[in-house]
Amino acid sequence: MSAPWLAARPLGPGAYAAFRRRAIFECCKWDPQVEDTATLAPFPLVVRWETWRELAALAEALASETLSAEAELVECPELHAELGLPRACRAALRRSTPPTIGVARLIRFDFHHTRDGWRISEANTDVPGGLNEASGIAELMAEHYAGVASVGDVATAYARALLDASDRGHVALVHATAYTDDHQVMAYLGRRLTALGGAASLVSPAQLRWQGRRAFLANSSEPVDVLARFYPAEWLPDLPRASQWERFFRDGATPMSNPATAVLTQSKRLPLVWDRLRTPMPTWRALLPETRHPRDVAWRDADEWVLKPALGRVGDGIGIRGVTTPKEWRRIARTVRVFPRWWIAQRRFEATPFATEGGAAYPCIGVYTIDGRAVGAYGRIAVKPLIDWRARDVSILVAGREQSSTNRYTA
Amino acid sequence: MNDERIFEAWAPDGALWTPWAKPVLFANLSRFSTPAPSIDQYRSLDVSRIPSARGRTAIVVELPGIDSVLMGLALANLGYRPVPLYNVNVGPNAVIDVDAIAGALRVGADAMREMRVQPEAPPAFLLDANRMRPAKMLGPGKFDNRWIVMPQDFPSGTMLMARGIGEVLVVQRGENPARGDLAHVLLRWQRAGLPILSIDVNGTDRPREMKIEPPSLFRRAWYRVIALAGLRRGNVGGFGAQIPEEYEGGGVSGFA
Repeated sequence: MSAPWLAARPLGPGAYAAFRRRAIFECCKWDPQVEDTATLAPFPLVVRWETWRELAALAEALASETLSAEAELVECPELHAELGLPRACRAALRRSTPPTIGVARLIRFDFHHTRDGWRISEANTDVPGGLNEASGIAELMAEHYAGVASVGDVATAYARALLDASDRGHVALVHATAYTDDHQVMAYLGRRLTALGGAASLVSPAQLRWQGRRAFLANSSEPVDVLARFYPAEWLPDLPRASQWERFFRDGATPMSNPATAVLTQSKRLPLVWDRLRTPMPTWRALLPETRHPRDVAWRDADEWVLKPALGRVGDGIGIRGVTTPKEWRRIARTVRVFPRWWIAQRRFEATPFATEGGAAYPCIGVYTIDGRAVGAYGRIAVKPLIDWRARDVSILVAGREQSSTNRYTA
Repeated sequence: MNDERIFEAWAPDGALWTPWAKPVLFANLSRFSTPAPSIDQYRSLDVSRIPSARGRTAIVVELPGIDSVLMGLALANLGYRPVPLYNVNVGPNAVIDVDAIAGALRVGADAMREMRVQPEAPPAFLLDANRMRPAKMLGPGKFDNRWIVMPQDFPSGTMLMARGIGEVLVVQRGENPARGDLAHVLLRWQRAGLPILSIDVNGTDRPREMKIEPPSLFRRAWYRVIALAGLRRGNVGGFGAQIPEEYEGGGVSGFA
């Protein structure tokens, strides 16, 4: 099977410096360097239009199955422990009150190309990041190449979906405000909301108050129209009890993107309960490598298994023998032996490398869906077949079509 | 000069250590309305005990507030490349006051342009020693913008040595051991083979070797907690629970 991407020459030093600076100031890219790695790749990953359509269709099928499974899981508390969720989250999910209203459901599915076609490594159903890179930064990169375009402006699509769900256009962007890497995502989304005529309040979850079942800014008598949460669901129980954080899971009447019930499908242990769901999950079953409880496979003696924490993010804590450093592998293996129910073993796949001037690299294309419709993509590329914090952001561009028109949200 | 031009003055294209400059404070400079501070005193700072910028020394400036910027300018005058590493968010009623730093960066941009530091000049990484020392009590109504440094914020020891750096000098006030978060950075460099030295800006001694000891298990565990679940990836984010601005029907409010 041939590689699905096309070669593109890297930007020269001057063009790259200007691109990087514009990314910082126009797109809130405030972490352009991590140790010795420039996080913005100086080249795009160009895919054919047919490839993008294939990925978009797969992502839409995955989204449909995910949302169906999630709706089932909300009503199946007996499965929540199996998903490796923290006790406090399980308690919040078990309440008899109705689930908090979900709107503008944003999900990102991470695709990898292999000899056997596309595979996914995970789905980010709770708080998918990368909006800046998938939107304005990809458009900045596209300006340097002829005949290509961004596959979609995810941030604008998301802002529009949030405003569609609001009465007066006031969206509270809930995140860890002091954490630069998270704040940059919300600051950028805030700009997009404002550009569309809305209003954004950038707040931490502790800066909300709940009156009845509605969310308010702490000093305001007007309720917030919509909450956009960029704060992982499993961190919510660390908030003070007075914050009523449980309303992110249940009994919240303020529409929320995403409701914290998304943690049910965010868990990488989701495949362990598939057979107990009515949703058949055919696309998931076809694209996700075999996923097992660590106690059920001989991961200690074989290289074909990847160890992943149930609620890991950005590649944190993933163990791949021969890829992860020996010291880190020993640490992960020890943890898995002690706490196997918080982990999964997933069969390893061989990703198709992408030839760069610096040698082979391994791309991951994260396709976003909003309410089940594909809206754009976030690319990352790593020098080893593991996408973690050392991976670089690479703009996903499409050739063969001037502009993506995959859905009504696309700018 | 707009925010982008000010950033360019401090982190010009083509300079060897520009990529490590943290842009977040520069990207928000226009939000500061306090009067610009005077920076003239940088010319009178005593840098006679600092090694020549033609040598193999990289510097970490660990001084509080505006003093770190002033020292950066003095070192630029000596031939070093100041690399601002203020990875701090801004917001109303913030517990870490960065107004003076922001003002000095703005005013200092002209001085940086005039000094024409060489592109390959050795780095002087600028830190605010008050990054974990709030000027105000934490509590309701405050924006908790404390921050820490991580090894990923700096070049690796391997990178420093590959670019000709042979030692690291910490410029600080007093002779205290490096604070916890910076100690982790220095320890990695030391283990990579870089001698670590320190100098007290209030003293008269020459730079002396600073032995970085591995943190105790407790301190290591604490660092991990605040680094992974706290200041850099978790719930310090606004947990001072500041009261946001009243919604007025347009634009961005709160902590944007």
